[in-house]
Amino acid sequence: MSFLVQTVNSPPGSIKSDIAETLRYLGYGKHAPDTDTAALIDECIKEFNPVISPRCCYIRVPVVISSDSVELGFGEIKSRSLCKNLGGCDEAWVFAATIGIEADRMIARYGKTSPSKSVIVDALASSAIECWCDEINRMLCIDLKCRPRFSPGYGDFDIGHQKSLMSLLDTAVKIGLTLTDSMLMLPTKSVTAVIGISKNEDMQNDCDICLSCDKKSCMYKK
Amino acid sequence: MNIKEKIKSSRVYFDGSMGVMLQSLGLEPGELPENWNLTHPEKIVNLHKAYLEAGCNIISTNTFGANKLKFSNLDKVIESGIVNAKKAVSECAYMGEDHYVAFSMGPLGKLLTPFGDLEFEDAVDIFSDSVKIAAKNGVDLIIIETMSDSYETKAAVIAAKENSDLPVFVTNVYDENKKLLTGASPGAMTAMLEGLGVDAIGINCSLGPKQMRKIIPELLENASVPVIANPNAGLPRAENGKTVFDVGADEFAAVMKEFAELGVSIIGGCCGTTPEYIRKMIEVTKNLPFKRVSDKNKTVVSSYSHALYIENEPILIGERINPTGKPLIKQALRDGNFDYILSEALAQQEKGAHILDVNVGLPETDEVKMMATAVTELQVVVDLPLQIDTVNTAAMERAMRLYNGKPLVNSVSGSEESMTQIFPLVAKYGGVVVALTIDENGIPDTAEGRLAVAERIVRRAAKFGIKPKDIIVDPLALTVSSDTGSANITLESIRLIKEKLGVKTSLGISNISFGLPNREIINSAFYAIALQSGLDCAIINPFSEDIMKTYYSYRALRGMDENCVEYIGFASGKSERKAYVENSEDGAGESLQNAIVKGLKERAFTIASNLLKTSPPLDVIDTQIIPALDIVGRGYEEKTVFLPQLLMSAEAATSAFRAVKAVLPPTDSKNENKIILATVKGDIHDIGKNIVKVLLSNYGFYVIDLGKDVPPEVICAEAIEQEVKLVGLSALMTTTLPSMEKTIKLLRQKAPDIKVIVGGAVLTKEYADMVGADCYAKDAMEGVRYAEKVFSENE
Repeated sequence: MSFLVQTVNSPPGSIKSDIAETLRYLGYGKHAPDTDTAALIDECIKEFNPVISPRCCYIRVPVVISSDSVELGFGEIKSRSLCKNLGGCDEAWVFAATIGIEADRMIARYGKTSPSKSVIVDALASSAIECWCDEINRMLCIDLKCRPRFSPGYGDFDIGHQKSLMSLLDTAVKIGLTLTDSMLMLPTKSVTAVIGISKNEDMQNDCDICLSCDKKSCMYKK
Repeated sequence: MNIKEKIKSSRVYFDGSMGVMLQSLGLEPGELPENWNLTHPEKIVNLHKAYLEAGCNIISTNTFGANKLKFSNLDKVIESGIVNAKKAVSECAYMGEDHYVAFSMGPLGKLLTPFGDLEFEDAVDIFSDSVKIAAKNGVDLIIIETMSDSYETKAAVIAAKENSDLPVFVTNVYDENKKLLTGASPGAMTAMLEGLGVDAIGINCSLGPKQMRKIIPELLENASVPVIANPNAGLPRAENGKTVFDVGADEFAAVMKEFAELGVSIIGGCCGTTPEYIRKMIEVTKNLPFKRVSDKNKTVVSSYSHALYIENEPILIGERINPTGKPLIKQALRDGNFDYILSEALAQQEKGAHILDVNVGLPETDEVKMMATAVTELQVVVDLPLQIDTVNTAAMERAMRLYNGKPLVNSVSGSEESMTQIFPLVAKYGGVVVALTIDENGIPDTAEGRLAVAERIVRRAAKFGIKPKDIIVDPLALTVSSDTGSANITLESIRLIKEKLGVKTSLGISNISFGLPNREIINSAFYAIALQSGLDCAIINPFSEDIMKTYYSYRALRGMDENCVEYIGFASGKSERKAYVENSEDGAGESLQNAIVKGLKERAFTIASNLLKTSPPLDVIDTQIIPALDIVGRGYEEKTVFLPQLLMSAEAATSAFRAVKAVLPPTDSKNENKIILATVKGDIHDIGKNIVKVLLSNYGFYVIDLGKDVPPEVICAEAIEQEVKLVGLSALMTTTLPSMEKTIKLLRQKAPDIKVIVGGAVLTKEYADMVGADCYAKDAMEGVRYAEKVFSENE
């Protein structure tokens, strides 16, 4: 296998949060915010967009599936859901992405001075990292048939695998992404994931991560 | 010749890539390169030799990731790494060149507090262990490299300095925006690292050499030590299953030649630079004339993000974080309520302060601990450099150590005792120190006398290696009402001290007006004359209109404000007007209840203040604030009001309460309805907890916020000591639920009467039962309702 971790960054402000998603994270469902709240959200967007610093590193790995575990070229992962997700794939992308520590800083700052802005920026940041991952998905999957991205923590894909994915990608040095002892990623608005590359020509190239999740009662399900 | 001498007199060459080369030699994915020191020593030695033969002077040991977090056999890994490098040097002795072995230390892969979970002192400790082994085995220098966090860099430098006498070089990773990942600019890094006594500073890894063109000039402009550039061979890509880099050896050499011509005197490579790159780089640069680095003689302080040069423009030091004469700050410090202090900090920044003075000295509190918390917390919310203001030397040291940058140190005096206490700290941690012209004999009553004290301080500082550029003299403003000559002496002192000593100056402006009415009038006039006399820094109240008028006018009149843009912005009152504008100015005709429901913070405060002129405070609470909170709270429960709006109302209520508190006589601080809130150990998310805190406070509960990542023992001890009836615990991740369970178990054991309520993203009723909580709150309002229930039962 080629041993090449590549990095790709996007200029600050180039990734924007999805407003509908942001409202969903804030619990609005299909409701629209009142004018005062909408104005506050606008204010937050203006402040938040420039501080997003999207970074990503990725590597292409071979996939070998056997019953309930999968070998990704750097170690074996026991997970039925991952096996299901990668079924029919002989390769996969492993990537890690983050929008940077400034988002955390802004959330923390407003946590001290304005909780309403803090939750709004938090929701904007959650949406921004998803948008960034979608962008990465699109970029990595050009001319390829890919599965929806699948992250440690989905289904029975143990969250502990974050550690091996991150050390494979050398995320601390490459994009400043670190892990706490309790498996929290820092910066917090970050994602590690596997994207199956399918041999099957009529596979859908889909970025919708909800398709890859079995959870029925999720308030965020699209 | 040792390396410190060598870099002063000639260009020095670093080696190239280690990691990428090892991969091409067969290092497997996920395999730790440092293990090859033991398993493949011959390959490591040969690689070092290849670089030495290419002509480099310094080889870095294969110990980049060698720390005790990763290796249980750390001694062996480091020792063999050094042995391999030395072997290569000795086998290349025939070349007759000066060769040096640099002990390489890279980042730990953990983020430091306050954002991460690695304590600053733990980071120092981990680096220290590696440094000790390296020092024992003998190397020529330490290279701290590929650091993308200024705070971790500081921890590594302190470890290197405290555990060895070796020269220390530092190279950081900058991004396209000329910043470290955690925000520091090249100027900020230069200020901090020179302050810490680093021997050479620079940039490595990052992008390719071409992208470094933007960063190198900023380093060269500010650094008084040699600058290092060790770039990658551009960006990697896959080509026929092989890794190739997009900048070839010739192109690499050409850009490195540019850098050498600009004055970068230590050059080499990072990822993807093979011995061929290094050879070509040396070939095109070896005959270039060597530029000796000059002292830039800049007075500079820094924060985690930027450097502030004290040069020609007046600098405003915000004085508000100081308990003297400020009962609200006093109270906040006693309660450990840093939120108030942080909002004061932000407000001063908004008003235009460049530096914030931090004084948290109160007789009955632990100042060392208080100062450490203040400095750490302030750096979460404000990016301004801080002036650490204390007479407690231990508090000063703690704050200087924990400060993420180069601070302003307030202060040293001309007394021998003060100088022997403060100067060693400045020499060790770096900083610009404010020197008061006072000594054992008091404050001289002539300008010449004050100059003499200043002169002595500058001379004494030199003995500690502290240069005049790192001293700002404060010739002391004394009250003019008791001696009408005092202002003249101070002003003359400024002129004299600047002229004779060439140092910068600072003054606490408001001292001049003690005992006089309408002090701001005379303060601002004094400030204007002082500026004209050459004053650089002024400790002032940024909320004082008069002072700010003087500041903006002075800059406009002295040609410092191009097109008078800033003056116009200030004078027309429209500077940085927020997009979110509350339209009615005085709130006439609108009810307080309505303003709170709509979440209008400033208006709620104004209306409440007006209302309090005619209505008793308790009436305002009962007929306006509480009904408003109820409307919004019910709306939230019925899903007609959403979280942001709920919180906006809560903030508006908080500001109305602030108006109420201003007229209410201070209550007995004994609170019956105390609640502890904490995010459990291992979890660093605190948004949810903060939301609950705001709402509980609005509903009249006294919240003790223990913060995030709080160990069970701390929560338990605090709950018992504070005699609380209710503890609220938050956890966001499944991985931190065990820690919540542990906390509850401990509480049950030690204080079975205390109720426990839990909440957080992963929690459900089932989980809550499983971990043994009394109540699960799915949102903040449920938390409030449960608290109301607990305390009404208790009554």
